[in-house]
Amino acid sequence: MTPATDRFTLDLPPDPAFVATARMFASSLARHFEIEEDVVADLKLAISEACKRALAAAEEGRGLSMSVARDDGRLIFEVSQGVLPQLEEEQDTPTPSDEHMATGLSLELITALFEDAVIADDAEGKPVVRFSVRS
Amino acid sequence: MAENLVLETDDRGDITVVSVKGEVDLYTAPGLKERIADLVSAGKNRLAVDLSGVEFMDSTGLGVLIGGLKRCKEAGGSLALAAPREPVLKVLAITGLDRVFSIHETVDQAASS
Repeated sequence: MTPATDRFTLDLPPDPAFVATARMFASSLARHFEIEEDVVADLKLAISEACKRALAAAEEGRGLSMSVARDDGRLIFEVSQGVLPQLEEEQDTPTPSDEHMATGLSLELITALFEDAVIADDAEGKPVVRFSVRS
Repeated sequence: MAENLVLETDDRGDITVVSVKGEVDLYTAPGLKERIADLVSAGKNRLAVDLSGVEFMDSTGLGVLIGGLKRCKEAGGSLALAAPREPVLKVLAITGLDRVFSIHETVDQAASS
């Protein structure tokens, strides 16, 4: 973590075993900044879904990357790794019906929980799932 | 099976209760999927999944439950959910799956449904 600038980062191996670590990182920071518990629960779900998307698009040599920045009274969460499908494609994805649920449902869940959720590009042009909560 | 997911089964007549404790996500969900598949393969296709011990579930867990429901129905059985906590109820509601599953407040109700 690099707390000096109110920006916290976590880099993890691209392994599903570390998704729980990402949730714990996000929820711990949210509680530190006194985010309400029901929002923390939503946050954990959104982070888990964002990690799932990132891992589904894993590129060799790239890990799971997460950052939390505090800006203008909001906590901004970002999860990234590899090439993810574009938002426009996901909106047309039908609700999956079995355990092979598409990553589209993950994005639907994230946007249902956090209205400002977007897929943006990071400095390398890689897709980043970004959303924020009031802190 | 991932160590942060505990699964127990209990036969109650022709209903098998699967108790799930812990967090169900991308890492742990395969364990639940395997357990349900094993039960259905063993002829135990009337399942009640006790979610009272589930602290967290994401879409991967939902997918496993949907897959389990499909397997049970294909085998002539059923899969009911029991005692989900608020976070799990919320994700079921957001996805509309609360209308797909038979959801009960208690394990006894699910086992007798």
